[in-house]
Order: sequence, then C-alpha cells, then structure tokens
Amino acid sequence: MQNLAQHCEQDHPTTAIFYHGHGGKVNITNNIYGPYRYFIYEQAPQQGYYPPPWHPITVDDWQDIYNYTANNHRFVFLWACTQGNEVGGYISGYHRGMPYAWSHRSSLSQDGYASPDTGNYVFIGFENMSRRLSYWPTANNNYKYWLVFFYYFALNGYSIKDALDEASKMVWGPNRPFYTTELYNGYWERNPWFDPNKPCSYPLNWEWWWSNMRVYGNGARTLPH
Amino acid sequence: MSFSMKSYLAAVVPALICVLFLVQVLSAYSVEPTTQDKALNFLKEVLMLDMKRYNATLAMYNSYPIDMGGYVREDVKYALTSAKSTINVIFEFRNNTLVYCHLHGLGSSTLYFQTPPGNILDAAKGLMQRYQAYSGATYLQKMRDMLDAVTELKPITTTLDDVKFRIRNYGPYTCFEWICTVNGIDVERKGVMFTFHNGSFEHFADTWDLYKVGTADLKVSRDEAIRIAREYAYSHPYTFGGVPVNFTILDEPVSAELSMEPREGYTLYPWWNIRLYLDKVYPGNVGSIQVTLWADTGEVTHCEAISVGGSPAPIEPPSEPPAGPTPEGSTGQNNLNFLIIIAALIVLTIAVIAIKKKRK
Repeated sequence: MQNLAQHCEQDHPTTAIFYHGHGGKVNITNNIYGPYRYFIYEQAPQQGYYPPPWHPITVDDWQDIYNYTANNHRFVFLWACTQGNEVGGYISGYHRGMPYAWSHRSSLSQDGYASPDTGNYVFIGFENMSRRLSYWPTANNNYKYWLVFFYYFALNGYSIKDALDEASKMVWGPNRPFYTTELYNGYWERNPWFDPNKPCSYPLNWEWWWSNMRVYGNGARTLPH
Repeated sequence: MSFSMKSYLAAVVPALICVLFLVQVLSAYSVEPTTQDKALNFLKEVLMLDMKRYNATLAMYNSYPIDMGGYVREDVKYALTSAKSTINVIFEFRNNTLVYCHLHGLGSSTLYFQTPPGNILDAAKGLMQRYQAYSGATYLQKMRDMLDAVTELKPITTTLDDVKFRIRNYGPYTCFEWICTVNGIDVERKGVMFTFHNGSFEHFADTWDLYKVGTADLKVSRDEAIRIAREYAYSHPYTFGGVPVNFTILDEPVSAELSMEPREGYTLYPWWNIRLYLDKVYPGNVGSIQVTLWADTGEVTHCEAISVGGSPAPIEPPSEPPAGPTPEGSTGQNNLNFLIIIAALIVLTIAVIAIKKKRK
C-alpha cells in the first residue's frame, strides 16, 4: 500500500485508489473516546483473535499514507471499517484521518455527495462498520454488484455522486438514488466481539454500531474517461 | 357485381390499404416523441423552465440492450446553458417512458417562464399537477389528492387503498413519496417521488407502471422464515480453507426484514432478508450468517457467511507513540528529499575527507 501510494504520487499526474479489506482505529492519547488514528489491516487475522496483539500488519494514516502522498490522489475509495469516520487533520503531532492522509486537505466537505465542495478531491469510506461486499441488500444484487455498477458509471462520464445514484438505482430500483439507501442514511451493524458479560459502557464492548458510507470532498467531480 | 364496380373496387381498395399503411408509418415516426423530445417537454411542461432562454445541448445519450424484463433503458443527459447559469439534467427512460430525472444546478438564477412557489409544499403540489397533465397516468389522481390534503410541511405518512404517501427527510433532502402497499407490505420499488434539496427541485422518479406485483401473499411468516434460515445455515456451513466451520447461532439478536423484490423481470414477490448472529467470531472473521428466501415459496436464495471488515471500537493504544511527528505541511516527497540531502551530505563529507587525506 505504502509503495503503491508513493509510486502513484511520484509517477502519475493523478490517481484513483480502491481498497477492500479490513480497517480500524486507535486512540492517540489515553482517552478511548479519541482523537483517533486510523489503520488499514493488510493482514487481518483469520481466526477471530481478539487484541492485543491484533492485526500484525497495519497501514496507518500518517506513517504509511500521509508521508507518501501529496497532491495527486484525487479519488480514494476505501471499502473497510472506520476509514471514513472523519476527515482528520494535524493534531498532537499526528497527521490523522484517512481522507486527510490521502489528500493532505483537512477542509474537505463533510458531505461531498449532497454538498460537494469545489476542490479536486473525493474520498469515500465507511463510518464505523462497512457492509460486506458479499452482503445482499436486495434479492438480485449484493454489494459487489453495487460496486461494479458504481465504477461502470463513474468511468463512463458520470460524476462520482451521479455514479453513486446510478449504482443505487441499479440495486434498489430506479426510484432509489443514493440518498434514499442504507449506505447514505445508515444502518446498524453488530460488533461480533461484543461480550454480554462485560460492561457496555466501554466502546470496545458496544454491541451495535451505527454505520454508513461517507463521501468527503467534491462528489461532483468526474473521473477521466 | 358489374364490371365497373369491380374495376372501381380493384382500384380503390389497394389505394386505401396504401393510405392506411402510410398513416401507420407516419404516425410511428411523427406522433410518438423520442426520448429527447420527452425530456425537453418535461423540463418545459413540468418544471416550467423557460427553454427559449436556454441553449439545450444533448451531452450524452446511451441506449442499453433489452433487459431481462423486456425493457430497453435509455439515458439522456442535457446541459442547459444561459447567460447566468448551467443546469445539468439526467433522464432515464424505460421503453420510452420517463422513470427518473435528476437536475443539478437549479437555484436563484434559474430561468422559468412562470416562477414556482418558494414554499416547498406548494411547489410539490404544482409539480404533481403538471406531471399528471404531462403523463396522463390515471394512478396519479389519487396521489395528487393525498398531497393536496396536506396543509403543513412536516414528516407524515398516510395510506389510501394501495398507496402510502410519505413526506420525509433523507439528510438534507425533502422527499414526497408515494409507494405501493399491498397486504401491509410496502413496495418501495413501485412509486412516484419528488425530492427537493436546498429548497429546489432535484429528483423525480415514477416506477409505478414499471413494476408489477406478482403476489404479496405470505406463505412464510417471520418466525417460519427464521426457522428455515437457521436450519439452512446449519445444514450448509460455510467453509474455511476447504473445511466446514462448526458455529453456533444465537437465538437473539436476529433480524428479519421483508421487502418486495423482482423475480421474473419486473414482477415483485415478497422476500425475507434474515441475519443470524453467531456467538463469537469464527474463522474468516465471520460474525453472522445472512440467509434470504422468497416469502411466497420458502425457497432459499442466498446463504452468506458475513465477515467483518475490522472493528469500529478502538484497539488498545500503542505503548509509545511512533517516531517524531512530521511538521504540518510536509509531504512524502519532502521526506525523500530530506533523506537524499542527508545521503548527499554524507557522501560529500566522505569525499572531502578522502581528498584531504590524499593531499596530506
């Protein structure tokens, strides 16, 4: 990931990134309520181990992304947990937050779908828990198909936000653009590590997490096609 | 029949046939408007845009192969430019019927031949009235009556016969929706919708005639669906590394959602979406099983082991923070440059020392 980001930054004028996998966050002080730094887990455990130690190979927002990017990662789509929790910025010595780490911009629109800014950057990620690509929100299409539809339209002259609409219409029907779907409006996802024998006051042990897909920046941008 | 009558018929009948044929052909080519015509008419007749003051440019036209439901989809995109603004409009047609429209750029500089009301509720009523005239569809009258009965803009839900009318907000979007409801099941796909964003119209959809309801009779209740799902999940365990995984499904929580989904093209049938949660995380990061089935037949359509893409909960903080912070505004390229400069300085220092030693 780090090498890829660096290569794209140095050798290409503009770059679009897609990543599907696992993600998480860690608080940078002793306060478990944040602020947080965010990770992509390149080698997630397959046996359901609980931390610590948790995921042995991580790509973090600052050390592995921010330091290898500058200006040309124009469209970044990370389909993994927590990657879109917040834009982020520089705080307490850390360049934190995935949208900020990839774009080096801390002022991206908080809703780049409904209220795009005028910049060059779009970031899509999930707040809290991502839906799985294998999950079927409707009888005939799972999220893998949604993703294929999204890129089909995004690479054929539709803006990012219009491609989000078209992909959603393909899955839920022509009267269901993106803002009417669970992706935009949110859904509850269960934390499978929830332990009913432990107190729920601690975020590590919250059973349900409100989650959704976040679009930051300028969703009105169109990818070169 | 006299000879003259025969001659007369022999001459007139073929001529009449030719005329009828020509009328048919001409009507096919001249009476039925193209999707582009219908798109422009919608802008003028429903949205009241002053098309004489806009330069309408066809920005895109896509026609897709006939789909499994026997429909041809056509996408039409127009750019409307005036001295003051540009409006981009996307239309979607199915078999030459408008099903979706999305406008970008309506606002204070939009040119109307008759300015719509600033009040969203009144604007919606006007849109519905004009769309009814544009479409001519009979199902719109009932919907229009339901909207006309509303006197205050606030979230509401009312039902009349097979139509459920809702005013609701999706984030910053205010949506007027009429959806079909049958046997207490909301048919979200089959409906009419007007949406406003920042006080301006932005989306329209009409899929009422696109979808048909096959049946809404539930042969499988919620409890029965959950029972079928549990049995199916246990009898079809997912595999990890080629080995079936033995898992335990919790009795609670369990989620069961009912919707009407397409089967046989655009015909809708009731469908259960069951989520069974496991007692712990199993190999493959699997924490739940999704089982879906048709509620009119009980046929299972999907059974998926749902893994999690990480955790939203913070992991334990590292014992010590990573190496020193990078100054605000620095970049990866800056770091590389710094390393190159250091390396160059080291090489230069070694070279200078070597040269000095040689001179000695």
